[in-house]
Amino acid sequence: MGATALTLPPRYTPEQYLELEERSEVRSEYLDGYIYAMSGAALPHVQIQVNLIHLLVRDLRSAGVCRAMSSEMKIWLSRQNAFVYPDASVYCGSPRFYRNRTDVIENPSVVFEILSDSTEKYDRGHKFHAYQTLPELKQYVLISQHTAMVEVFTKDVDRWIFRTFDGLESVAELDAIGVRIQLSELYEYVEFPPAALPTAPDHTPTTE
Amino acid sequence: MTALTLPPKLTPQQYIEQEELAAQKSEYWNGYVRERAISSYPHLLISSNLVGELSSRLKGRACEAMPSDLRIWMPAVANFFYPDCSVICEVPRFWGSGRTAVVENPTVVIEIYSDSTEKYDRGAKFHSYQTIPELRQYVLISQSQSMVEVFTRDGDRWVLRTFRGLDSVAEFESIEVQLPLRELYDRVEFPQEPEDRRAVTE
Repeated sequence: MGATALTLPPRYTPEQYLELEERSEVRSEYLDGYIYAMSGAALPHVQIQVNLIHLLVRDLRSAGVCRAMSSEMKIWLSRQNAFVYPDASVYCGSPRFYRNRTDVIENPSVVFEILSDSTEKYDRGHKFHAYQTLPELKQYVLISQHTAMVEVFTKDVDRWIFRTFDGLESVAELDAIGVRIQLSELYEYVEFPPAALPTAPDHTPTTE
Repeated sequence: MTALTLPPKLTPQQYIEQEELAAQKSEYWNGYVRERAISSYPHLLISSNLVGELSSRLKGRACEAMPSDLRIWMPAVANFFYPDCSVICEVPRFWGSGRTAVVENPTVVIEIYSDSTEKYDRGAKFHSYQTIPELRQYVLISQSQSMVEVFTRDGDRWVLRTFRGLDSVAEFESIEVQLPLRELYDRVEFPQEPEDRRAVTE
């Protein structure tokens, strides 16, 4: 097994977390009693995020009922007892707030995460499983920051359709919200690391 | 993440020769060699159940369930991996002379992920396996809870189905096998506290 927590940090109620979060300078996520600080993002991540929100706002304006939210908006995952900050989200129709708090919504249609080395495992694994419990969620979008690649999971009743859009000339289809994302626009001004870098994981020994 | 000093790159042939003499298995990522994770006891139990259950269900059929000694070579990305289990249904296409156990055309690849391998099994390794034209299904098995995720190829996309709980039955339609999770996880004890699911930096 992996690391075992010998001493567990204190547990909080959702209300305690929300109150702490209002006063905190650093954003944190909440998972079933535990609070996890989020650290700042690096330039490629921020550039992609800015481009993404710009594209969403621009393309949703003509379509009508859907609105793009930045990573300031928390999502409440009731089945997990968790509050998370996706890198971006889109809701359609009326927002449904957690206990009338306008800083937390419960009904995103699309959630976006920009992958980084330290969040990739969580974004592809546990966080995706948590988002799957949102009844209104129709698409889950993962954006790479080391290469031009967008992966889209689309809900189809009890399964998810997984499509990969690879390369700057490709266009990611977000049919849930009628948006087509040109990867050349999403990655504008983003410099990728040299291709010679290995895609291999690091060389530290691991257990499985 | 910046790699300050990279180890020297090896050719596929150099890796294969080195691997024949090595005490510990390593995988090959386009020139770079990485030691394979050491398996924990729950991991070994699940993989032993898996290969056993698949083998008995495939008896008399044209498919073989192979344990993690079989390497898969993906020429499009120049990677050699040892999946926890591969199912070979077509005439095996061997790498090189066929003397070493390296095959290019599995029908199903299965990884039992752990805390330390989950990122790669869901990310870079899945991307790599997607380059195998013959691959029909990619399966991820959790070892911290009873959950099996099956990706099935459908043209240029994949369909993901998730099977949760010991009463559920995972369907591997590409090989027409149904695998009850109760058999897969027989004698496996799950950890009490969930592993840390969070990461702290972007």
